[in-house]
Amino acid sequence: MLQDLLMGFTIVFQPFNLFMLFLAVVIGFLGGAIPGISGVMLVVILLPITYGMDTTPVFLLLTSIYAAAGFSGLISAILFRTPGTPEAMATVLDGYPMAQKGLAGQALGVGLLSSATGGLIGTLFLIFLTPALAKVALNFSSAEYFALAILGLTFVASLSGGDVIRGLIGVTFGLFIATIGIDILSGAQRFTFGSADLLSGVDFVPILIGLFAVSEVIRKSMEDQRAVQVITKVKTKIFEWNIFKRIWGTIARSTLLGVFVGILPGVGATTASILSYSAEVRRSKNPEKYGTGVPEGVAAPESANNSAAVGALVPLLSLGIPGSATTAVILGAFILHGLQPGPTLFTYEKELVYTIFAGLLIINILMLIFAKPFISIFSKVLNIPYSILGPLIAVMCFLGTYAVRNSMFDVWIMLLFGIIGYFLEKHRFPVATIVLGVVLGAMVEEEFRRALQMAGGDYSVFFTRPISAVLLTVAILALIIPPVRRYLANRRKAQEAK
Amino acid sequence: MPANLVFSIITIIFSLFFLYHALQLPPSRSPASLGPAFWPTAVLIVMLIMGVLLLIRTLVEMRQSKSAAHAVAEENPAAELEELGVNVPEEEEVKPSKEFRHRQWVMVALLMVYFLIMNHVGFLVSTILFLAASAWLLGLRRIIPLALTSVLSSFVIIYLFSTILSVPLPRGVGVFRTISQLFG
Repeated sequence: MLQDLLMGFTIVFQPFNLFMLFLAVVIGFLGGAIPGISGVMLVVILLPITYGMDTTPVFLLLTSIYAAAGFSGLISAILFRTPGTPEAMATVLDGYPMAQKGLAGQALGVGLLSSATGGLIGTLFLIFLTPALAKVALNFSSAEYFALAILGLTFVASLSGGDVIRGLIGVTFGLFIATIGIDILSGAQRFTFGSADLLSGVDFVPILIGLFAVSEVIRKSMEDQRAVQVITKVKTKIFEWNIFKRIWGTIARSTLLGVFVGILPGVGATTASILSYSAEVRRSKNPEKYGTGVPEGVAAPESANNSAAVGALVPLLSLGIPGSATTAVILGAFILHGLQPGPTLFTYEKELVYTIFAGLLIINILMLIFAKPFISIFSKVLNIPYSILGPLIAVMCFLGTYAVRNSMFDVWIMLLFGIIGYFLEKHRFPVATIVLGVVLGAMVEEEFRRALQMAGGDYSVFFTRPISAVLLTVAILALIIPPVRRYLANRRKAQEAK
Repeated sequence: MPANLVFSIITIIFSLFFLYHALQLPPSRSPASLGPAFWPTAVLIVMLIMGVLLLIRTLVEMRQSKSAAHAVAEENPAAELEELGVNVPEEEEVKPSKEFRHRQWVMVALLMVYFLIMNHVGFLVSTILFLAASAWLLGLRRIIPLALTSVLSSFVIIYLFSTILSVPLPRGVGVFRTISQLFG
């Protein structure tokens, strides 16, 4: 393994790949720091543009941006009280009060140090867990893959919005979209209604760009953009021994919690950061201090969201099952480049996987090194008004969609899903469920049919194979437990009220 | 009308409509393998059941209390923090612009016009027009910055995508084709 990792490092240090890493630092910083652009949005828009390039630099770029955007969300969270990315939501709680006390530089430093530590330790877990899990999955057959995908889908349905029914509607909607077009196994046309554009199905790239980027442009258009924030000069203090002594325990606990939450399907970095913040509040002897600007309150969410972001890559790379919308997008990137994440990726594309690992280790250090100059040089860029930024994002959305197969039809699909996404987000519908359904749809159906075919049409195959049976049982429990728990809690509340 | 009521009705109509079409699909050729209809039918049936459940739940909630919101308090992770007594900042209030009450729909309309005219006037001209119109809509009102940003960024984008990344962009017809061919 160490040898593979060394090989990964030598590949990363090739000039072009190194250039990609630096590009990722700049894009990740800008994207994460500017409210209105998130890490997912960047990966989604860049994904089709990188279509024609070699796979190694592309995945180095995309995964590094994914990791880097987790850092920079904290900058505007601390300075303006606006999280630059959703993952930095909990950072606002103590980061902004610290800035108000005149400790902005210290808050930024604590956030950056915690992010880097979380990211680095998360990557170490990724490096050790992924090959082990992939080895187990090497013996999986279609039945297990089907069960695994169903497990991922049900977890997302039940956890991402807190409402199983609406979550399942989202998942089935996504799965249905994936069935449109010619059925590969039988050659029959499904739901094409005679349209030539629909024969090859609805491509998932326009759907992702529509749901993640176009919907955001539409939503932001209705806000009044004239309030411009003022940045005062800040001196970022990355490492101070007396602060570090205070927060190292928090960083360690939050990082571990973050990795664990990240690996679980259905919950992502945002939940991880909130969970670790509340865990620290519960643990603390002076819980009332949280929210008034204590460094622990910045360290907890920032180390957790970075380690969770990396942890979420474990099931993706080892099993091919994404647990969140963001990792579903990265799965989309693999599919677009003709690769299938999962155990076979370790056999056939070992170099690529270890290059990604090495890249993740380096990017976390690079972000820490470049944070200080970046914040002082680019703090003006953060003030780009949305009246310029929004239209440019819209043009980038068009380009990203059009670049895949030069189809105006795709562009209209993108706009349609932009409008759908705008409505769904307005009513807090978990968009991640649709994304996962669309991206996993073709694979789930294929494995389902192949498993049945191999079993000679015997449906019991899913429950006689032990691993598949366990996974499916957990999936069913994931659907049943949350509503039952809520019902019981409601009843208890009603009784107490009486 | 509660959003969930609308969602459930749309879900039910959607799944019934496509279920009807799924049942018209050809049957399987061999008994051991599934035909093209099985999977979409199964997915749509689950969707239909969930739509009906959501409808029932929403109707029950509406009857139970006129202000039904509290019954299905969504499991919001931030709620846990509030329980702990932490002061969670309110989600930013959206301040709708005063000039246009439904500015987001004007934006959608602009996007539609942008995509519609692109095949006729080409990427360059349509992008300059779109950038200028949408930046004006979003509040950039000074003419010179408006013209400069829309023209300059269009050329930068053309250079990046057409020349460096060699993405073929729509060039338009007639005189617009000649213009497009001058750049990239």
